[in-house]
Amino acid sequence: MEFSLMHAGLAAGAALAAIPVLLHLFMRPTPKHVVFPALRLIRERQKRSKKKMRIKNWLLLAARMLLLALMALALARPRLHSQTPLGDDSVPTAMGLVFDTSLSMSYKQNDKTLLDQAKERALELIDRVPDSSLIFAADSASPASKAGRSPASARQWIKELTVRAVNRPLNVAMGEVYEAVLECDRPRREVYVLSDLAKTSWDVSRPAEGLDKVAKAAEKPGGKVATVVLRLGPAAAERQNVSIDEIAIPSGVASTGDPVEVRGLVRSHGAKPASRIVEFHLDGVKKGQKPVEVPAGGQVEVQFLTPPRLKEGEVHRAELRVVGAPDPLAFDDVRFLSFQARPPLKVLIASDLDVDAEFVALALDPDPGASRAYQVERARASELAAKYRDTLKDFAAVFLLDVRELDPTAWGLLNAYVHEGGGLVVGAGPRCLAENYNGPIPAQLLPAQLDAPVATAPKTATFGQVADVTHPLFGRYAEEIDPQLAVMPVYKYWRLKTAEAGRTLMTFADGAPALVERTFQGARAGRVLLWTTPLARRPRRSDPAAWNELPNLSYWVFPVVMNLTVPYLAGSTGEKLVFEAGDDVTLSMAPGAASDVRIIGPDGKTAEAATPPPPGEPLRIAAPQFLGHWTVVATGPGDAKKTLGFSLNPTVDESTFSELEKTDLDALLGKDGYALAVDDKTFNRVTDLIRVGHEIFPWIMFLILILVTAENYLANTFYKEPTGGPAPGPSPDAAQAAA
Amino acid sequence: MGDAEKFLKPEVIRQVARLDLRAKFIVEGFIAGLHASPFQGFSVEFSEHRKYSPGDNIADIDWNVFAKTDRFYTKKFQAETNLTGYLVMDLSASMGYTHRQELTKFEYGVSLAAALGYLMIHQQDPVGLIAFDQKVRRSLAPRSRRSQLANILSVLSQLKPEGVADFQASLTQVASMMRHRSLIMIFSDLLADPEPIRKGLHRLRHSGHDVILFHILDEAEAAFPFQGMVRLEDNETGELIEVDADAIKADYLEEVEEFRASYKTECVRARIDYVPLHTGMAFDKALTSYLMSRQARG
Repeated sequence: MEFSLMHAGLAAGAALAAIPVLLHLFMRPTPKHVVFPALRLIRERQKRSKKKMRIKNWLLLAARMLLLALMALALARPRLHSQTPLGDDSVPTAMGLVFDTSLSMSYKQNDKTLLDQAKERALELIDRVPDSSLIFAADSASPASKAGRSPASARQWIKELTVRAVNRPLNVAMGEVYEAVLECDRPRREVYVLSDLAKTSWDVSRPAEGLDKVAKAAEKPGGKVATVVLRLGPAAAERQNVSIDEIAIPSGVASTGDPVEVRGLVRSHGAKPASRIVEFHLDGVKKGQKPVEVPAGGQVEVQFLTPPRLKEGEVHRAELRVVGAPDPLAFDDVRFLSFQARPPLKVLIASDLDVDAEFVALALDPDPGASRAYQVERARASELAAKYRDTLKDFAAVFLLDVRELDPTAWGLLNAYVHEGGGLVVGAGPRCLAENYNGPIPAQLLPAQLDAPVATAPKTATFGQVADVTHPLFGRYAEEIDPQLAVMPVYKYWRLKTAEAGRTLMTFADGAPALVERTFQGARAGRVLLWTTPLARRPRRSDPAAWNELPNLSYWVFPVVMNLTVPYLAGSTGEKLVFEAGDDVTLSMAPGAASDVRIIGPDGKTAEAATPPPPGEPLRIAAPQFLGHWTVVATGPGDAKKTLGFSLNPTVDESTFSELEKTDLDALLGKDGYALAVDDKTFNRVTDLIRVGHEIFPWIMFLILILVTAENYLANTFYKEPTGGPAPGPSPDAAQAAA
Repeated sequence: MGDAEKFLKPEVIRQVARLDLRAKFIVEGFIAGLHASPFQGFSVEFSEHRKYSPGDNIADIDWNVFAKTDRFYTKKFQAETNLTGYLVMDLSASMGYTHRQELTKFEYGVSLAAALGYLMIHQQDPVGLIAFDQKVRRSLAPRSRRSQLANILSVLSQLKPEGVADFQASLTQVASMMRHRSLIMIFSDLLADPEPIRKGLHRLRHSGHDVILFHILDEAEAAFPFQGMVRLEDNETGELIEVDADAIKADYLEEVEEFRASYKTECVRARIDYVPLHTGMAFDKALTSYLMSRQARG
């Protein structure tokens, strides 16, 4: 805590405290001569109370001197600082302004977005500094210029600020501003951070950049940089917002000929339930709407069906929009989805016995003949090589279910199929011959070698858990699958010899691998999934082929996993057309070289030419900035045009407002490295505090008041008239009464 | 307040130059005041008669008075209550002090002594006078004749407070001058070492005399009305002290109280009537003290 005076010259008035002493020394009045026979009484008294009198006199003298000194001090307007004083408004300033331009700053409060409020505060700050000041402004979206702006230029820059979908952590922007401010030669240095303090705007795992330089500069005289954080907008508990958190096609596949189900999640982020209408738009046309009642802090699911027979090969654009009531945060009231309709994926199921293929086929195509996502074809394992030598590549996935053995030709065919990007699922069951599966060709293909069948112990006779919950094979069901696995009986499984080539995706309760994957990189990734227990069951437990209850209809895991398996193996889950803000977009281009690629933004107007990728390579677009449906037009040989598209959505975290805690801010900016203001009033106070410190004038005046009272009290106590005693020159009656 | 009572006030009585008139006015003012006071029972016929009360000798009843007033009065009162009184004046220089240039302590004491002399003579009590400083300077033997009052007043008017008092020696001398049990009324400011004064008073008491000590201070000595820096001079010793009057006032007044209280305690212990006075006070307080003392002998 430092102490300074606004008018230091006036503090010299404290010398006036010497006045009582000088008066005492030089202006002693000539005593009046009085004959007084009762002198002996005074003398007697003085003998006893001389010391007491002296103390009283000193106390009074001290009180009077202190009084004068305090009055002079009060006039000098003393201040206390927790930081170095930065001077008043007339001091040229190096002012850093860090704007949070993340989507959450578009929250509207009193018909103004938080960014608008931030701009107003910033303009007010600029108005308070002289024109010789330099402004170093940065937003969270784009790198800051090291060159300072004049106040007039900064005002213009601020007015043009907009909310951006893609932002850097504010830690980075602060680092840029700190560096520029520290290099500036203006005597006063201030950095203001204008943010709603959403956690998503900061990287709380590390401090703001440049803090070390600021700390180092503070050690030098006049090197102090004051940091003020203004929190904009209401606190988290007071916010109201309804958002669409997700839009997806649950099946993962949009097959031509079938209506496609589009599912959305609507969430209420406030403390009140919300009634809204969710509209479904497809390719720019409203296709339906549903009212929803969203409980406070909860979410509801909505489903819409597209019309059947969507055009194959085209990118379709779907949107879910929340309407029906004003919403303070508009950006998350709509969510975008791009998808391509295509023919059903072909799946080949090879087995020795029909029963072994039955369950997978039923899971993938429960109603043969109806329109469907998959076109399932069954075959005997023995005819695999002969019948599908040329057509195997047309299948999105091949299931090899409890096949006793394959000849080398068939293994070679499958090996080539996988290495070219195909997907193979092997269900190892009681019929499998380990030596056939461990042969040289299968060894190049399978993730592990089979050792021997193992009967599970009664206590561990179930599946275990998903080993990698982020694996796309399990989609978003990974956490829900585990409880089912824990009760799903397993009687036998194949112990594996080595599994170095593979990655375990699921285990049994005893920890042994249940599902192992091997991936082959190439132009198109090939994958092999090895189940160490069959993907079929037997009705009777006593049947030697009854190894597990995975396909039992009592459990939903089997059909879900099978339906996720095929798109995964087919690579269609990798054909991502929906991205979140900040993601780099990767789009598969049509075979053949594109001579020209144009990227058109969601508004349909802004177009940008991109460098065509080499043949076979995907087109990469670095972090597009605008939310909505993007269009990519690739012009190939002979002016053949191919239109692609993708959608860009905000990150869900931007909707789920989570405010920085005080401890987070301390970690980001240093415990004593900043001042926090939560509204205009505290902002002005904090600004004044930094510039001029705590004025202690009122306290000194209060002290003076106390001192005057004390001086009076002392004087009256020390020199008071005797209670009831005769006053000087009393009337005889009064004197008589007193005596 | 009646015209007579106004003479109880020192500021009024000082305007009367003649001491005999002063004494007369003070006493008459006092008597007039007594009509409304608790002392009227023993007052009005102070000279010769007293109301009859059960136990009195019936032979003493004055039947002439009964015939006139239809009330019983005894005649022997006068004879029974003859009391020899001595007015003892302190002649120390401090007694000549007055701050307000009105009555000095000495003049106040003389006025009071004259009034008491007047009162006693009119009651036909023999009264004498003694004035002392380091020793007895003047004395008059007690007489009850009317001419005695003139003698006393004559001596009183000639006295001047100039010396330094030696209480122990003087009071011892006073005690030796008295042959009968007497009422000794001392008028002094007692501004001297207390021990000799105490011894002198005890000497008087041991000789069987009744003592009334009129302790007279100047009004300024009692109230300390000074302000600011003052240089105080003791007119007896010439000693000087410079003090802040405001600063010491409270302490001084406390000291005065203690001064008076110490004499009061001493007098109570010695069965001496102690009457603290200052020159601003009316005279009736002193006279009342005398009458109470006399009543105690009645």
